[in-house]
Formats: sequence, C-alpha cells, structure tokens
Amino acid sequence: MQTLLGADLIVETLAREGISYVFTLPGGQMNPVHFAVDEKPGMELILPRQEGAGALMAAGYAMASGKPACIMTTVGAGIAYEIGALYLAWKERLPLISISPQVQSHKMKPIQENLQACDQDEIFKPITKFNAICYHRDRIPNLIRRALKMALAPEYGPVHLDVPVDVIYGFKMVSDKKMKNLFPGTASRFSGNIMPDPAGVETAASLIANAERPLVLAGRNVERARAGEHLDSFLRMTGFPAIPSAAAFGAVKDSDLNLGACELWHHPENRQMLAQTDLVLLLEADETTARMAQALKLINPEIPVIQTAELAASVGALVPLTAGLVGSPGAVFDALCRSLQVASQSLAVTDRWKAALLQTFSNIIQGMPDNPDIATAGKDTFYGILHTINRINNLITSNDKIVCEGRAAAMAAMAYLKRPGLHNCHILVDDDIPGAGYPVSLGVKLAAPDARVFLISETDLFKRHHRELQTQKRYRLNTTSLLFKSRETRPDHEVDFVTLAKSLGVSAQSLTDPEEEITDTLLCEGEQCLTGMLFDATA
Amino acid sequence: MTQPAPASDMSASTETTGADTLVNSLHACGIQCVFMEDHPAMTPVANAINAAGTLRMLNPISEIACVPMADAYSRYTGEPVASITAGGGHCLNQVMGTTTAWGDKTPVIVIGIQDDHPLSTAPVFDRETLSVESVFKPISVYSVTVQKPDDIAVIVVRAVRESLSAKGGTAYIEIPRSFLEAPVAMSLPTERQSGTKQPVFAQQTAPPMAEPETIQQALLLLRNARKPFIFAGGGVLKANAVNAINDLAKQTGIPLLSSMGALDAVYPDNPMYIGPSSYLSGEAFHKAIKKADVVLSVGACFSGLDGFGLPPIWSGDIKFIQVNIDHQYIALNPGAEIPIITDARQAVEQMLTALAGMPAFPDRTPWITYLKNQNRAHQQRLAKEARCHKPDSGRLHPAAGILAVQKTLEESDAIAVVDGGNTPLWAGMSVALKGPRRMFFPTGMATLGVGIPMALGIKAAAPDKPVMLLTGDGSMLYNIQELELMKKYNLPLVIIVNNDSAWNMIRSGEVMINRSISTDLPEQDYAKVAEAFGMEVVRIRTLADITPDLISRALGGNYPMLIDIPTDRDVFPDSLVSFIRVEMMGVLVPQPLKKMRRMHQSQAKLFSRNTWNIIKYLIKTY
Repeated sequence: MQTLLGADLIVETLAREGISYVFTLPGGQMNPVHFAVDEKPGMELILPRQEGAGALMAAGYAMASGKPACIMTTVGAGIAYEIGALYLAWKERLPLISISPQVQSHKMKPIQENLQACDQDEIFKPITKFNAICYHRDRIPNLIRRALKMALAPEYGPVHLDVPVDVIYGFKMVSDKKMKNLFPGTASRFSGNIMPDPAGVETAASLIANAERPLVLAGRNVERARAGEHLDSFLRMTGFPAIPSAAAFGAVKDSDLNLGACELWHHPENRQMLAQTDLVLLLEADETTARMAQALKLINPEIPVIQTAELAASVGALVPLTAGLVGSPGAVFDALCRSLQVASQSLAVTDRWKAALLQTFSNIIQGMPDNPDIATAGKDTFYGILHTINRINNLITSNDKIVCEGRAAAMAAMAYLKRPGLHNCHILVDDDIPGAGYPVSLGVKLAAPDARVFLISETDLFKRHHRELQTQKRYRLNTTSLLFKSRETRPDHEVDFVTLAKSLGVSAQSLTDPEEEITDTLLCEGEQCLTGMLFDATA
Repeated sequence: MTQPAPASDMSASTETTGADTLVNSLHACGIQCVFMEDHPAMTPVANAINAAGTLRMLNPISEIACVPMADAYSRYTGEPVASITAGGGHCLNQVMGTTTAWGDKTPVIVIGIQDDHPLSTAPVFDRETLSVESVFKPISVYSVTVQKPDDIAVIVVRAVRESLSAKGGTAYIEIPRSFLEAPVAMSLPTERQSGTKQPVFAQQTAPPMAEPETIQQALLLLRNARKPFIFAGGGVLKANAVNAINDLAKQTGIPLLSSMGALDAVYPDNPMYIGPSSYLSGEAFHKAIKKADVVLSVGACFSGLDGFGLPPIWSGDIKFIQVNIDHQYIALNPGAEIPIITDARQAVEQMLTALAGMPAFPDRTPWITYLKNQNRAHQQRLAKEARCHKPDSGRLHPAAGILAVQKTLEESDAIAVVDGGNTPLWAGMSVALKGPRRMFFPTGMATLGVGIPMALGIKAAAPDKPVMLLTGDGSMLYNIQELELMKKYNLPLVIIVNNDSAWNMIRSGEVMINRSISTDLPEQDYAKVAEAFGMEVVRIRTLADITPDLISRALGGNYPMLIDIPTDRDVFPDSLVSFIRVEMMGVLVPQPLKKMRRMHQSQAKLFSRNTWNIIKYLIKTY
C-alpha cells in the first residue's frame, strides 16, 4: 500500500514513459507535481523564464533527441504564453506532451467567474493531436499513456492534457493490486517497424534500377523517424542525388550528392532542370517536397513517382504515383536496399545527370545574393552570415549541432555550410514562430550535452527570447549564438546586447572587424564561455 | 497623434483595397490607435494607415506585446483599440494578451493576417491550414474569418459592436493576406461621407434605464438595512460611474468597497472609503462580507477574487441588489433580491435622482468606524512588520520598499501599473491612488509579465503623465524586449523592481510544505540589465536610499529610470491566504502522513513577525 497524490501518478507515468525533462514554470496548482519530479530519479525540472520559451526548449530537445518531452504550464495565463510556442511542435511534428492544471473540477466547463479560468482545452484543440481533461485521479496514467501514444504516432505532434487542481492534489491509499491495474507493465504503444509490401518493394526496386536520371526528395519524417542512417545506406548504395526539405536537412548525411535543400531550388529555371528526371523518389513527403513533386509533375506529367510514407493516408494523396510503399521509413529504405542487392541489378543512373545537377546547384549558390528571400532579409545580413559560415566551416566537426533560423540565415546555411556539419543542422526556415531559434538551441544542448551547439540567427529574432540568457547561465548550457545585427531592415534602438548578455551572466562579444578570427575561447570550450558573439553585419 | 486627412473624393472608392477598408472601418468605429507587428505581411495595412492619416500606429518589438499594449491603451482611454499581427505563430502569440484582455472584458479587436496556402486543398497537410480563429474562439466574444474582401467593413463594425456590448471584451478577425490588396467595392459611410464630426459607428446608443419602481425598492431596502455596503465592480470603471458611485456612498452614508476588478473605483478621500479592493483591505473586507445584511453590487460579477468560490465565504444571509448590464451576471453566483439590468452609471444616477425625494438615510457611523478600524489595524500591522524586518540577508521587507515610494506616488499625478505575483498584493495593500484609471492590473487572468507592455500602452495614451511600473523580478524579464520602445517612441517609464530573487507567491506554498523546488531565481541585479536599454538606474542598498527626492525626480524627469530594490523572499502577504483559500477550496484537504512529515523539515520560518501576522489574519478572517 502506498499513498499517492494525483501529482505522483502524473510523474510516475511520465517517468515510465521515458520522459526525462519537464520544462515548467512554477504555479501553485502544480507544486506537488514539482515535488514529485524533484524526488524522481532520472527526471529533472527545467525552469525557463517564460512559458513559451519552455515549450520551445522542449521542442529543441525533442528535435535533437527524438524523444518526447513534457511542457507543464500553469492555468490560464501560463498556457496563454505557451500556445504560440507549442505551434512549433505542431508545425514541425515534434512529440511534446503539454500538461496544465485547471481550476477545481467543480468550477470549470462552463467556467465559474474565477481567477485565471478559461476553456483552455478548447484553445489547445486546433493545434494538438490529442486533447483531454482528466476528471478523475485514476485516469491519469491511462490518459498520459494515450496522449503520448498519439504524440509518437505518425505524424508526430503535440498533445495536451488538462488536469483540474483537485485531481492533482487528491490522494488515496493505493494497493499493489491497484498499482498493477494502473500500470499494467505492458507496452503502451507500438515501437517496432512496419514493413512495406514485398511486391511493392520489388516494383519500386526495378524502377530504381532502371532510372537514368533519378531524383530523391526527402521530407521531414525521415528526420523525425530517425531514419537518416538508413537513407544514407540507400543513397550510398544507389549514388542517387538527394534534395531534402529544410526540415529534413539534418537527415541527409554528408555526400557530394546532397544538393542543398528544396527551398533553394524554387526558381522556375531550376525546376525545369529537375523536371528532366525520369524517376522521383518522394520519401516521407512534407509540404516542401510535395510542392516540388507537384511542380515537376506539372512540367512533365509523365515523370514516374515512387512515394514512401509512414502515414498510409498520404500515399497517393499528393501526386499520381507509379508505385507507393507504406512502412516505417528505416524499414522501407532497408527493404529497397535488400531488394536491389538480391536482384544484383546494376543501376542505370548516369554520371552526366549527376554532373548536370551539381552544376545547377553550384549556379544556385553563386546566384544566392539575388535570391528574393535574401533580398528581403537584407544583403548586408546575408554577407554577414556568409562571412561567419565561411569562418565556422573551418571549425565545425561532425559532432557539432547547428540551429539556424530566419530565412536569410537558413538559406545561406543550407547553401554554404561545409558538408561535415550538415547532418547535425536543425533549420527553422519559416519565420512563423519568430525567435524560436535561441530557446530551441538551448533544448538541443540539453539533448546533446557533449556536442558544441551553434545558433545562427539575427538580433531581431534573438530579442524575442533574450531573457533566457538567464536560463542558459542557470543550467550552464554552453552554446554559441552567432547573431547579426539586422540594422538594414529593423534598427535596434541602441540596445547594447553585449551589456545585456553580461548582465544576465553570459559572456558576449561584439565582432565588428570582418577579419577578426573566431577563437577557441569564443567557441564555448569547457566552462569558460557560455554563449557567443554578436556580429555587426554592417561593418 | 496624426491628424485626420482632409476630405477626399469618395467617388474613387472603387479603387479601395481591403487594407484601406480595414483602416477606414476601424477608424469609423471609433478606434484611434493600432498596435501592429512590424512584418512584411503588414505592409499594405501600414501603407493604408499612412495614406489615410486617421489612425495612430505603434509597432511593438515582439508581436506578443501588441495586445497587452492595446489592452492598456483601451483601459486608460475607455476606447476600443486594435492589435494586428501576421498569421500562424505570430497570431498565436496574441493569445496571451487576448486571454488577459478577455479576462477583464477589454474591447480589443485582435486581427490576424493569415497567409494563403497553396496546398490548402490537400488534406494530408492540414497542419498548414490551421484555423487560428478556432484557437481564439474560447477567448473572444466574437471571432470570425473574413470570407471575401467586401465583408471586411461589416465584420469590423460587428466586432467593435460586440466588443463594446454588454458581454464585452475581445473580438478576433482573421483576414487572408491576399484580401489586403484586393479591390473592395463596398465601402463604409465614414465621417468623410456623412459630413459629421463623429464617425458614424462610434455613436453609442444610450444605455437602457432601470424601472423607477425597482430603483425605489432598492433604495428602500438599503435604507432599512442595518449593515449595508455598496460593492463596486469592474463595470463601474467601464461605465465611467466612479464619480457617481462615490457620490451615492456619500449621500447615503453607506460604506463603499470595491472588487479586485475595480482597483481604484473608490476615492481614498471619500468618507465612506473603507480600504483597498477586496482582500487587500484585510479583515475589513472579510468582516463586511460576513456581517452585512444588504449589499448593493454595481457592475460586479462575484468572482473567486471576491470570495466567491464554492462555497462562497460571504454570509448566506445577505440580500443582494445586483446591477449589471449583462443578463448572465445577474445572480450568476449569489442570488439577487433585486436584479437591475442597466449600466452602472445609469443605475447609480437614477438612484441619486431618486434620493432627492426620499427621507434621509440613517446614520451608520458605528458600522463604518468598525470597518475602518479593521482596515487600519491591518495597515498598521503591515507597516510594523515592514519597519521591524531585519533579516540576516540585510534585504528589505517587500512592503518597506513600496511604502517608501507610496507617499510621493500618491501625491503625484502618476499612473501606476502593477505586475507580478506578490508585488501587486503588497502594492495594492499599501498604495491608494485617487482614481479613476490611476492603477492598473490585469485582474481576471493575473498574467505575469504584461507590466512593461501595459505601462508602455498607457504612456502612449497619456504622454503627459508619469507612468510607474511596480513589478517583481519574476515578471520583469517576461517582456523586457519592449523596453526598446521607450527610445523608439519616447515613452519613458519609471520601473520599480521588487527583487526578491524568487517566484515568491508560489515559493511561500512550496516552503510551507517542504522546501523551494522550482521557485528560487538567480540573484540578479536588474539595474545592470536596464543599463543595456539605456535607462538611468539606481540599485537600492538600504531603506534610506529610497528618498522622496529620488522618487520625485523619477516621476518628474521625462527619462526612463529603473530602481532595483533587493527584498527578502522569506515573507509573504497575508492577503494571499484568502486567495489560496478560495482558489484551492476543496483541494488542500489534509495531506497524507508522508507529506506531513515533510512539513517538519520545511524551510518556513515559523517564528517571524510575518508568520504571526499571517496567523492573526487567518484567525480574524475566519
């Protein structure tokens, strides 16, 4: 027999489901949850200075580790700060579980006029995959398991649970038998591989073997399903050129045939070039790669397309297919490799096609300054970024992690970052959640404590969450933020970022001399340096 | 503010775009100021605003600050205001401010300019076509997506009407980005066409009247009561009834108390003033709600902040006369002996008129003195606690810092914004500004961190008045990026940071049960942080550093100043107990033995003056 609060059940379930970090801010309704996390071995509270930043740190953690993370914010005002940031997890398909207390269950739905009360489950509903109110203490384990199962089912995404404060604080003696009922110890979700249909694999393999001008378009879920290694084996075996979307950028490993990202190929001339392909492999399509495949099909409706996806509903829903495979991305890529090996077929892909693509990619890079996205962001910003990327290219190792945000920075990084750094890159190409990069980079550091983490961003974006410098200092999250002062587009009103960073305990330096070398001290070696530098792009 | 453009030829209305229509209709509905994100999607709107010259436009640093700034501007001016951002995540960042404004029913028109998605027909990628409108639905009185450019004008008019209605509050409009540059055939009869000075849609209809017989009955019930009081709610501020209700209290000789949503509705120099709002007047409020027999509530909704949990801590024998403009708030919590539907000002003015024909009200000096003494005892206890506080850390008592500022602040014409957890309680208990619209706090949601944007919004609305923000260190960092606006728009603020290095409202609970787990904050000198924003800063070491000269200089000088006061985190305001009592009713049942054992090891200092004062408060208020 043991006495358990609702809060204890929340934490026990989260622990059993493999949650290590709870990103949270204090709230009276959550006190017992914080106590329980504090006492639970293997679990830790991460306390940022704003709920939105907490959700973004959790997103960064999930992005880099592939594991689910928990964000817990207090009723009303707390969730209101969280919601805009949780949208990143919704858009980027990250498995987050958001848990919030509610007012007493007898005062909600419809709400009694009460401090901080609102129908927060309804606010969350449009941007979560699963959403529930836990009215009874005994349902906590089941609902959390169910929520996490949904968060980790394809396509990944955030889920939300409201727990009324009386359920959190409510306690009961629980017998061993009851514990077994609450925690049956059996698997709470599917974690194996779904195998593709063998006949479909054979058809696809034969198309692949005969393609002279193939093109691989890799989407976000290759990254989310951690299938990068498998895709790499496939690409090495076939020697096919690959264009990932920005979201899948980190999943396509180093190769001469990694041709930047889809976003760089948007110009109609480049699409015309790509449309000369004789086989499109649309792997785990996302918005960008699907759009590209649709564009190529419009130019040449005869192009055969093979689509592979974990989510059955998306196969065939985007473009007319020649073959479609449903299965776990890793399993599908492996099956294709095996099939090609068994058939011992020689591949028809031509060197001329590869060379032509490489030449076009090289032209794209050279024409970057005229890219409309770059022009919007400001050319001085672009050159500042370019200059920094060239300098850090000499320093980046395959163990480093890079977070890139802002359209200009993302485009430049995708084009110019030296290959060994590529597969650790998290690109936030949309500016839909402005300023997400900095908290995300802190979350990435939590997930990869041994890696050096770089953020490439602009002061204009950084300032949305620069308060988290204090969090960075508090948890000693050594990262280097390379920031550009985007004076051209939006001037800073004499904010002294170096003074600000230092006042919050983080070292910072303004580099105005373009020739000034980035030294090891600025790169967060050991404990001596917590964050990085501010580049004055106008210099 | 930009002056309206000279009359133009409206025959060119066929060339009007969606953005022009948006701007014209906002102006036609009485909106003077727009808080807008600086984003490429906003360019057509910004161009239309510049071309029309009728609206003032301010661009916060982060879109998250748009609504809180608009909210504060509206709270100060009483006018509807608009907040506009780009779509998706930008717009979702408006949820924080919208929830806050919705909590206090402020008329803010929240607008999201959503991208048009090329893949909108592909159901697989439904996450690209999020309906932001549905997110806003639970926190708006009206939410709608514009379906065609011609609808913009009608929808704006409806949104403003709804937000100013009895229900009142935030309205959300979602506009597809392409509509901004699309031609619009239908235009509004704006002031330029009608030739009147007032925009046609800003003309308000007069509020309904109460039946004279009901007013008579209400006054009769009040006159015959033994221990009545008048309870002013947020509706009094909204309806501009502050003067009237203070007059009513004076003329009837009935004590006047206010709800938490009407912080400065009672003038401190009114002889019927008992103390600060709700729990902040300590045992005075508690005694009043237990001993009264008749209560005239005006524009109040009886929320948890006023003691209406389930069950309420008010006496069950009170007869309520309830005045509210909205049907749903009549007898929402306590039943109504006499319900009156009209706005606060109308009802009170009708009562004042009816009083003329009535015999004089009985003298209630003993009842008033009794309540005043209760508040005085509470104030004295607080002052003594602050004065005698000598912790090992050498930090000040949080109330000591505020009490040192109080007199100069009260004597000035400054407007105060309070932000934080315990800080608003310390400030609310200590500072009594003669309102209305002198002290601001987002009561309904008690959102942390809106202080800086709200103070800036008020400064924008009242550029000639000093604005002081009293904030905690926890809330200080939330929206610190907006300090940049002080330079951008010349909006200097005076900021006082009650720096106790903790989330102290929550910390007290953690420490009582066990120890602080999640509530300690790093020791941080916010004076240094403010230097990065070019503010003049003062770091307080001892109480003697907070001189009236310093505060006068801060309030008198037209430059930004931050005063950082390191305070002790081991004390908490006694009125917090009342909040916990209502918000946790039925929750804090006796905890299991294991948890009780923790209490013996708790960090709480059991023998401080603060602890004894809290125990006294508990005894007196039960």
